[in-house]
Amino acid sequence: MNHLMGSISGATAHLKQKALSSYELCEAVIKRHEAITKLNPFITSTHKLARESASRSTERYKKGKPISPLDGIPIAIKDNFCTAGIPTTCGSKMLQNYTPPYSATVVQRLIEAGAVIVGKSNLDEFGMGSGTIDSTAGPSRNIYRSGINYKLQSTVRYPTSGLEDGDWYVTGGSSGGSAVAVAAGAAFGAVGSDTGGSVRNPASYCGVVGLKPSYGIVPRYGLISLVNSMDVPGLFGRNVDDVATLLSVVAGEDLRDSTSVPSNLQNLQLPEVPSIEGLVVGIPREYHSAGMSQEVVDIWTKIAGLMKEQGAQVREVSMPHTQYSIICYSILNPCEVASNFTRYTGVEYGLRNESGHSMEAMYALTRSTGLSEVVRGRILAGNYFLLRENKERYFNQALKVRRLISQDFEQAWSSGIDLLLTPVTLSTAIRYSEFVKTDNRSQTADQDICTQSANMAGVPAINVPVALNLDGLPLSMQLMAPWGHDASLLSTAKWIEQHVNFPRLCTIED
Amino acid sequence: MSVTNLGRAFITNTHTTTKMNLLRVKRIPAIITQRNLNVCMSVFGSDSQSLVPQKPVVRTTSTGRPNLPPKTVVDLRLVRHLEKLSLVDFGNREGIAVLEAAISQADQLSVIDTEGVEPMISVLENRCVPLSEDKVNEETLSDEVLACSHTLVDEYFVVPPGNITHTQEKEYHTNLNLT
Repeated sequence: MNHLMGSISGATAHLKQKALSSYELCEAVIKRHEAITKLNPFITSTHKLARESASRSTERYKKGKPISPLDGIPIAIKDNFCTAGIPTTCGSKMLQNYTPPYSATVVQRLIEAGAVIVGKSNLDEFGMGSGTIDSTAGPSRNIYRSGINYKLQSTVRYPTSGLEDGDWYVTGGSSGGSAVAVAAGAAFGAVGSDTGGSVRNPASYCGVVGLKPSYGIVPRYGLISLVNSMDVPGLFGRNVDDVATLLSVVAGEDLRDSTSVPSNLQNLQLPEVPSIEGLVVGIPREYHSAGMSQEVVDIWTKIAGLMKEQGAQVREVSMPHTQYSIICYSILNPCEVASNFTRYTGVEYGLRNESGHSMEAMYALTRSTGLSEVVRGRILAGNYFLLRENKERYFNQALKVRRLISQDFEQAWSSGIDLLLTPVTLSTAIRYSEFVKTDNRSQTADQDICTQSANMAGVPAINVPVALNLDGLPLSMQLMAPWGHDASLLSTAKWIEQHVNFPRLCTIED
Repeated sequence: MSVTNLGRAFITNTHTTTKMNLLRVKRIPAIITQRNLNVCMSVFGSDSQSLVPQKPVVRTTSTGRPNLPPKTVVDLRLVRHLEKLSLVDFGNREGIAVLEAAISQADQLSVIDTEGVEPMISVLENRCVPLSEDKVNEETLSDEVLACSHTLVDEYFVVPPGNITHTQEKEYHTNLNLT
C-alpha cells in the first residue's frame, strides 16, 4: 500500500477525507510488519492494542473530531520507554519479564494525541551500542539491500538487490529498530533515545530524518536511564515536517522529570518554504576525522556549496576540543551507568537469580546473568573511574573537559554562527560481517565521533538524508543549533530536504 | 558540469513549488555509474573545496604515548575490588582487556589543561529548573509496584540474609591469569 510510505500529514488528510479509516491504515501497517519480519524491527508487536486504538480513532474521524494531527497514525516506540501493561525489556535478559505499571511521558502524550502504538522497537541492550546488534532479541537489519524488494523515487537506477553473499547492512544504533520501522513503512514515526548519537546514527544508515531535541525540552520520565545528563528522547520520521509534528506533541515540561524545562514548541509550525537567506552556517573543521569516507566528505562539500549558492554565509570554524568529546564520553557514560545500574538487583523487578544464599551473592549472580558483557564492562569501567584514587584524574577531569566542549559551541554561536553543518557517520551503513569484527566499545568510540558532542553540550541536532551512494545506501548530513533553537534547526533541515531530492523509498512489496 | 555520452540527468523535485537553482537537463534513465553520480551530485551546486576541509584534521598523533601516563595493568587486587563494588564480574580475560583499553583511551584526557575550568554537571546549569511543591500528587500505587516483583511476603520485598560477603569460586580468578 503506497500510503504507508507517505507523510503523516498525507495520511491524516486521507483519514479526514475518509479515503481510508484509521483501522484500515493500522491493518496495512500490520501487514507490512509481516512482510519485513526478517529485518527484526520489533521486540514486541502491540497489534491487539493498536487495533483497539485504531478503532477508537476511526470513530473520532467518523464524527469529524480527530484529536490531533497524529490521530490514527501508527508510531513505534523504542523498547527502553516504559509502556504500561506492555513488556519493556531494553533488549536485556534483566528486564525480559518486566511489564511497567506506568507509561513514559512521551508515550502518554502520543497516546493522548490519538497515535496508534504498533510495537516496541529493537535496540542495543540498554542503549549501549551503535549497530542494534547487541540485543537479546537478535540484530535488526537495514532495509537497504536487504533482499526485500523496494523501489526508489528516482530516474537514476541504484542497486536495490540483496547482497550476494547473504550479508546485510546494520541499521546503526542504538535506536535501530525505530529507524528501520520508519524507513520500511512499518510506522509513520518513531521514538528513540539519543545519548551519544543513538537516534542520528541509525537515521543516517536507514535514510530517515532523526532529531535529537535540546536537552530538557522533551521529558525523560519513563525513559529507562542510561546517562541522565545526556539522554534525550529522540524522534524519527520520513520527512522533517513529520518530525516537527511529533515534537510538538511530546515537548513541554513535566514536573516528574526534574531536568525538564518549559517549551513553547506545542504550536510548532514550520514555514512551508523555509529560507536560508543570510543564515550563517559554520563548518567545524575538526569534524573531518580520520577514517571518514571520501563520499561523506564529498557530500558535505556539496551541501555546503549548495547552501552558499542559495544565500547562506558559509564559513569554517574551529571547535578545538571535538576530538576529546568521545574520550570524555567514554568516561562520563560508564560513570553514570555504574550509578544508574545499581538498581538492577532482582529485588523489586526484573530477573532474579536465586542460587546465591546471601543478599550480596543474589545481587551479583542476578547481575552477571541478566546483564550482557557490554553492560558489565561499562559498570566496571565506571567504578574504576570513580575510585577514590582515580576520581579527580578521570571523572572530574572529564567534567571539566565537558565544559570546554560546551564552550566550543558557545564560542561558535557568539562568533555569529547560526547553525553548524557536519557529517553524521563516518560512512554509509556498514556490512554486518565488517561491523562485528570490532568489539562494541571500540565500535562506539569510532562511530560516535560526529554525533557525541551535541549530547555533551545539550544542543539540538538533526540527521537529514541527502543522497544515495553507488551501492544504493543513504548518505546524510547533520545540523546543530544553539540550545532551544529546535524550531530554526528543523526549518533549515526542511530547506535542505526540499533542495536535495533524496531518492525516497516509495514502494515495498507486501 | 560534465556531460556524459548518455545525456544529462533530469532531476525534478516533487516536494515544493519554489523555484530552485537546480541544474536541469534531459536524459534517458540509466544505470548509476561514477560519471553520472557526479552529474547527480553536481546539481547540489558548484564545488567549494575551501569551505570543507578535504583532509582529516588531526591534532595529535595517535602513535606512542607522549606525555601520557604509563598504561594501567589490571591486577588481581583491582579485579576483586571492582567486582565487589560493582557486584558484576569481568567474566573472562577479554573483560579485563576491555577495561585496560578503556583506561588507555581515558588517559588521553590527561594532556588537556583544565586549570581554572569548573566541572560541568548539567547543561541546564544556567536555567531555572522547576522545583515541585512538597505535595502528594500521585495516588498510591503499592499494588502495581509490588506486582513487578516475583518474590514477596505480604507487602514486603524479600532478600536473602545480608552481611555475608560474596566471594567468587577460586577457579574463576585463577582462570583470569593475572598477577
